Amino acid sequence: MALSAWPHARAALITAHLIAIGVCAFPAPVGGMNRSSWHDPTVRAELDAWRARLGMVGVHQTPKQFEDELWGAMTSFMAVRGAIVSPFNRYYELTGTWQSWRMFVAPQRYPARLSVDVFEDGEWSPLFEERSDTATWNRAIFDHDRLRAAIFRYSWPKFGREWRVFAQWMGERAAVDRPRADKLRARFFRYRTLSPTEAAAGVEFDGKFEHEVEIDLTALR
Amino acid sequence: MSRWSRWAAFLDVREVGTSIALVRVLVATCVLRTLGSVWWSGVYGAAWADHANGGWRQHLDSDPLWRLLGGFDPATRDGLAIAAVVSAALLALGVGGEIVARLIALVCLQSFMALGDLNGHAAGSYDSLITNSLWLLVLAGPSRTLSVECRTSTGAWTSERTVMRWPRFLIVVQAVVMYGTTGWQKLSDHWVPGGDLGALWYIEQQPTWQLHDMRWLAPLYPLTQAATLLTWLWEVTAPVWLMAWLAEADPTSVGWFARWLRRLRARDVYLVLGVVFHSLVAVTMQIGPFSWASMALYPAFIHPQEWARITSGRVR
Repeated sequence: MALSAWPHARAALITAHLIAIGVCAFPAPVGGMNRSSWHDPTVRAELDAWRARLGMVGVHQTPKQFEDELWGAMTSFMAVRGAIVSPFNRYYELTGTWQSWRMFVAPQRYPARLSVDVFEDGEWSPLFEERSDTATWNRAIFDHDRLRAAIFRYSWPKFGREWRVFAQWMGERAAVDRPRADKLRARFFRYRTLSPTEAAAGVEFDGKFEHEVEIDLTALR
Repeated sequence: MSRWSRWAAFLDVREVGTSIALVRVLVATCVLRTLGSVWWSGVYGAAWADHANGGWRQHLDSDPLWRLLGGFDPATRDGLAIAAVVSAALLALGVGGEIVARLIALVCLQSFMALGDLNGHAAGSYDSLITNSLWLLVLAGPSRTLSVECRTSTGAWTSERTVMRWPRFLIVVQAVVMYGTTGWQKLSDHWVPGGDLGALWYIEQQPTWQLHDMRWLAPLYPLTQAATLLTWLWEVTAPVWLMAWLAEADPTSVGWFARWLRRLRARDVYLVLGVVFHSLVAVTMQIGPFSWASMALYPAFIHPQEWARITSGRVR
């Protein structure tokens, strides 16, 4: 049975939608296009693993050769992708059809845990620590998935400015909630996650604090 | 008949609206749950407010609606939140005919999108999944069953009135695109076969997403390795799920692959694995409404005639 014009027009529109979401969803190294993040130990370990894997099939490269070639390929790919995706940007923007499905592409072997302390009565005392049952200041907010996502981002060096803004905001809240506190210290404890063998043996986390920010609470009152 | 005409004819099929109605109810409920959790936790005033109003919101104002509304203002934000909640409730109830139902879904989409855009750092993939689903509900229009519209039009809560099938097809495609492309990007040595298959173990150890300390999983490490492989295979082969859905949609479709998919009940296997996967994630991790937003699309994988069999107890 022959169809009228509308079903054909509708089929064209649906096809355009499918192309739009298809090109946007197509795998792309969007999160990896900041080469400074390649110094992260998790990223380094992944790069080394793939370089070793290539070596097993006869492609032997130094880390620098491998990374330079990878960067070149990624940059070219992203330029082509950008050209293909850009005609659809307005559609994504107006209809909320962005396709960003880069979820858990690699486990973070060196995660960072937010730790917030206040200097009160002459000593530092813990205020909030991620996943702690004792340092639970504003836990309902900090444990929310949206805050977890933000805190996860701020533990990366490229979000240094945003991390300091966030720390300032925590300071402003702490200045009200802890009127006797002089200072707030916010930092991340970065450690290597335990292997199953280490976890079974009761090995403790080994790591170090980084991205430390101190806020003078007296100036905020 | 040309390939194009067959494609146009495939998209011209009508069906009873049970599947799309269930998606509508679940997606709208997901919007309400998502906004409710932002409000009750206090995140509303922290992440969705700027410095002058007690928050720290950053990465701002890319959404066109904010530009149209003249930028952030707490009163505008509150108005959008009210619009999102009211429209989501109306969407869940299934209010309105051809135009009003679409308008309600559009208001829900635009207000939710604008709220999610208030702080791009405090956002997740579930925001995109929800907005994608809402856009498809805008396109779908009224579902003609399990709705207030059905009740006022027919005097009953359910009806056999038909709707177009293609919006349900797009929902199925959206789910498959999401699962497939996330799987294809899982290139870590901990995910891919040939590596240590430790991805799920190590992800469960990340403090960012943990609900509880998961070191107790250590004796079950081989199980987590098997689950890693199964999850990876389930995601990277997601397009097979779409083919299985198509094979089930047309039981007369020939070809060895379609027959094989039907015989193995491949669509149902993918569906059950999805429910198990998301349920396990929901009880061990805190990743927001992602699991619920994903499973909200699952009714689209069930054909309306199958819902009729399920509700009458005549499951094959």
